[in-house]
Amino acid sequence: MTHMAQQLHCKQFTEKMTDYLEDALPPEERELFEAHEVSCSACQLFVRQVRETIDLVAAGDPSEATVPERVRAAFFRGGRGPDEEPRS
Amino acid sequence: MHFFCLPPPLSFPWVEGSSFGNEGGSTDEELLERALAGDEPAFETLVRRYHQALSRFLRLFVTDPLKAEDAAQDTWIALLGGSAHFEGRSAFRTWLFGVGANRARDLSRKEGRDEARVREWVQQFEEERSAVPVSRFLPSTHPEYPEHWGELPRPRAIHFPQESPERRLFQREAAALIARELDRLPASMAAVVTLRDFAGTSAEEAARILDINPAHQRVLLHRGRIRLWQVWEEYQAGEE
Repeated sequence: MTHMAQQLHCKQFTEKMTDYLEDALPPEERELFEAHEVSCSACQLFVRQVRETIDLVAAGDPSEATVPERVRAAFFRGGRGPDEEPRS
Repeated sequence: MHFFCLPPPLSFPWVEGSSFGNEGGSTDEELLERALAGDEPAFETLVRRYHQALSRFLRLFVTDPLKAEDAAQDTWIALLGGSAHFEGRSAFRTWLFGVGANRARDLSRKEGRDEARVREWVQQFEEERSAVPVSRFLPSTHPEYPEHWGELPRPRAIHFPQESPERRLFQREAAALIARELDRLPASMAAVVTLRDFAGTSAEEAARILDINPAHQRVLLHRGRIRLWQVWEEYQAGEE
């Protein structure tokens, strides 16, 4: 695995990307991954777009915006659900 | 360097320094503190930020979407009432999804279903790891470039100026698109991607909440992300 001629191809690179981001690759595979990334602009673009995808998931849907009535009512009751005893 | 190399890396300034996850200028923890002190707009912002995603996530644990919605609402009510107390040991949203999962599991157990549904979707797991379609790559028998990109990742079609209304609109539309696609993923992938990339839980926490092993967690995360990447790739290249 550590022989100089060993290298990743783009397909293998894409397969290992999450393991790389999760820090789950053994050191020698990590080196191969990083060496490929440095030399391949297509895979650099792939990584960038996957990172953008992750950012978009984190953003959530900005149009989703309702507060359920039961939750709102609980807020005005000081957090007590309809079945709960008043707090002492 | 090989013959597929593109010009120097493209820049995506709209992602860096964006307000993702922090719209309205307050962190979740700040909003929570204000909400628990009786600030209704702060509470409303917090619920609007997470409720739909939480409710969808909890459908993994109970078959009836209405029960999942109940469990999500109960989670907020427990937070307000103090029976679920956020102590700041993790990010608020990690805590919220963890508490919600526990509530939904309790509900599931009460129905005598144990965690059958979760086990069911974990069994959907397969060993195949290549999430990017094989058709995107040259064959392994290619004399010069085996398994290199045959169909390159498509670059952004349009670049909007920083802080422009067009850029903001693009951000919002893209985020809404990805949220819709997340909902369409197989349940197992959606669960892991929601926990890791939306709720911000660690790999260990996600595996614990879902009761799966770390390797399953990583594979599901990888596949889910790649499926969403395919949608984003098309969209930003102006192909949708």
